[in-house]
Amino acid sequence: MIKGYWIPILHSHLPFVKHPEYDNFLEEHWLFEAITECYIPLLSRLKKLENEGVEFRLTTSITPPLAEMLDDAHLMGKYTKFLERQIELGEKEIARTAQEDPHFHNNALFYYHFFKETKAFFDTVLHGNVLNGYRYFYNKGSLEVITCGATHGFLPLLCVNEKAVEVQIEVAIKAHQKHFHRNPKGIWLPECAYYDGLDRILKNNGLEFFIVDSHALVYATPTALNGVYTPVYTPHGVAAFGRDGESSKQVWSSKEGYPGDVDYRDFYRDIGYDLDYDYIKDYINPDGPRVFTGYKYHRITGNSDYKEAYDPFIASCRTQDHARDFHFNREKQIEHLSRYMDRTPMVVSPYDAELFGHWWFEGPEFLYNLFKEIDKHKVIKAITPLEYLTMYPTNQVVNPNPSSWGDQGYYDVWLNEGNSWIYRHLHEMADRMGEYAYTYRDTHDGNKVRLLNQMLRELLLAQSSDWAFLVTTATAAPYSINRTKEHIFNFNQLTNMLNTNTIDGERLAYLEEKNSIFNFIDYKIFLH
Amino acid sequence: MNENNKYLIKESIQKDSFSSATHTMDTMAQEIPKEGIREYPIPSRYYKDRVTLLPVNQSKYYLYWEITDETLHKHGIDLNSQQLHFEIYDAKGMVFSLSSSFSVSEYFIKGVFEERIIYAKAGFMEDGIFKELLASQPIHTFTSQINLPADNDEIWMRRGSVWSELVHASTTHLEFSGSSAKYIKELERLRFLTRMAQESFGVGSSAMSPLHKGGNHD
Repeated sequence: MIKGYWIPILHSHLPFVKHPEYDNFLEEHWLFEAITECYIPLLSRLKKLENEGVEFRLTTSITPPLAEMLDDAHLMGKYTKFLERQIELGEKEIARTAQEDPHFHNNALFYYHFFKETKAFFDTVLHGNVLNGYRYFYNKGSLEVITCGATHGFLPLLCVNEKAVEVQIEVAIKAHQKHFHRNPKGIWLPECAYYDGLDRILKNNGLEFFIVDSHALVYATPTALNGVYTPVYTPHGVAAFGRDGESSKQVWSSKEGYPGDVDYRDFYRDIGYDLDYDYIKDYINPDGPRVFTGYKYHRITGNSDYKEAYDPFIASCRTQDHARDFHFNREKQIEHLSRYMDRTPMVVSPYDAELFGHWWFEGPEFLYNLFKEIDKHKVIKAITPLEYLTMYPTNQVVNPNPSSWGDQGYYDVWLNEGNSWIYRHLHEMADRMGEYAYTYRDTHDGNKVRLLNQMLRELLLAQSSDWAFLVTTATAAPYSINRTKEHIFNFNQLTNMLNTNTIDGERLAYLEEKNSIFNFIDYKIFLH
Repeated sequence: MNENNKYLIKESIQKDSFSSATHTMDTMAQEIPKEGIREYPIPSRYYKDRVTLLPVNQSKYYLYWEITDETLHKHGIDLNSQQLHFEIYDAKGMVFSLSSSFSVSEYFIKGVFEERIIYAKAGFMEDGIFKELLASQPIHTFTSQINLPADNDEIWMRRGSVWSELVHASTTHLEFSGSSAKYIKELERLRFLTRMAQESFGVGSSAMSPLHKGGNHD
């Protein structure tokens, strides 16, 4: 008997990064690592579940920038080369460890096969396009793919110009249509950030649900009476699903989360840093600095610098233990909640997709075992938000509290003394984009149309919340500040070309190639 | 869970437990060689009058402005001897004010203005009277309070205890997202409400009726 419903939601996102001017650019490795460690391992586990006849349901966002990169021929060509180099390093490591470091020989073999299998899956199952995997399960109905803001713009801080928010949503819908050939039903609001009135724009774009942190519902007007254990409707009739803290904590918490188990792979120990420079230099940054290679031979072991060898088999067994534990806790949680509710409760567990695989290497295996556990016991059922709404279409109407899922729960991470300077420019650019769209609404000059479209791309890319976020974390502030300034600079350079009627064709072509996101874009979207 | 497990995820998750793509980007972005970064000049002003108010959290708001030389000249404002004046309003009147000698600047306002619409006016003082130049767009502020449905006291009271359990469970994670003080305060408030409900109706949580009006599978 089904006692309750579990709604797992993954947020898959990376900012748009493309550098055609370089053969090897470190920022592009964000994507390559995420494909290798997160997206392909997840898709291969879903395929395995399907082959084994295990029923599962999963909701995942594929943000428009991520979808655009996964569909980009230049980047995917580079990804193939990346995999070939990883395999080449594996061959080298197998030989080296056999001779010099037998303690890690099995680890070298493990990674060699890991990269070989990844490449085989990419080439033969996905046919060179990761989106094919998502599309396959989306069409089957076992995966609900939802969208996000066009470039992950932090909507509550962009809504000074409401058109800017509307364009973030409308372009996202068009990107979803382009990549998945249908309209999305749901949206992962960038950073789960909500503001009063956003639901009208979501409703106008045919979106039926979104996800918020718990205090959006607990402090809603009026408070959501079932807490986060049933959805609510906003005044415009869009469903809001609240994050369950308990299940989040089991995976995220540094104190109690599963990824900290001593048998799991240690993230920091990597041969890119551990081995002799002359030996490893061809597989790290060509400019010299050491970087992660993905060949990590140690397990967490403990909280000291002493690390023991990683054993993938033992780690895999731990994912079964943790899947059982997670299932047990959800069952008990749902039993407890059922005492207070007149309907079957739901537990919504949203996570960053990149947690599963990149940071927690065994995360995809955990999900695989968890779905098997759920299928085996049949006391809780994994469903999508839409399936819950189909079963329970009548829900309380509340006005969610403005909020985000960032530190402190509001907008602090994306607006503080370190990154506030960004918003003056974003607001001005949005205002000017509207003005230029109106001024040139009837132009048929091909170059001006190209230029105006590129202006919109630069505006959207500047709006990405990732840069403001990384300024706050301070680990990547110089790079993030520069990325923001680059797009502001490009936008202003393009407006100057337009104002002086002196279009630098070479520069425009360069920007179109480098910041090539959304080939369907039409600046007139700012007029509608 | 083993105490040693605190090691993993340490800084990244502790710094920002819930934000997106934290680990991938934080890790890789650190490795970008600084010498490879090109400097991009951006405008220091846009020669447009603007005052903008943005919410940060329940007790912090961000105000930025630009008042053009043309506007200053038109109103005879000399910032060498005068200041611009900014006032924040809600529906009942002014709730905050500040002055500045800069025509292009910003300010973080500290003040608790929960659950209301506020906006900013930019202007100057003339003979002790505020003269408005322009106003910001209105913003809806946050709330950190439980907002009980007030239209049916009997229902919320009878459901109060049950409802408080759900709210309690809904907010448990706040203690590790840095909001423990708020969480504890909220729990105290819930206990008070529960006690009031029990005193009023003489029932305990075990005697609570079903929480929701709607039937199953409605």
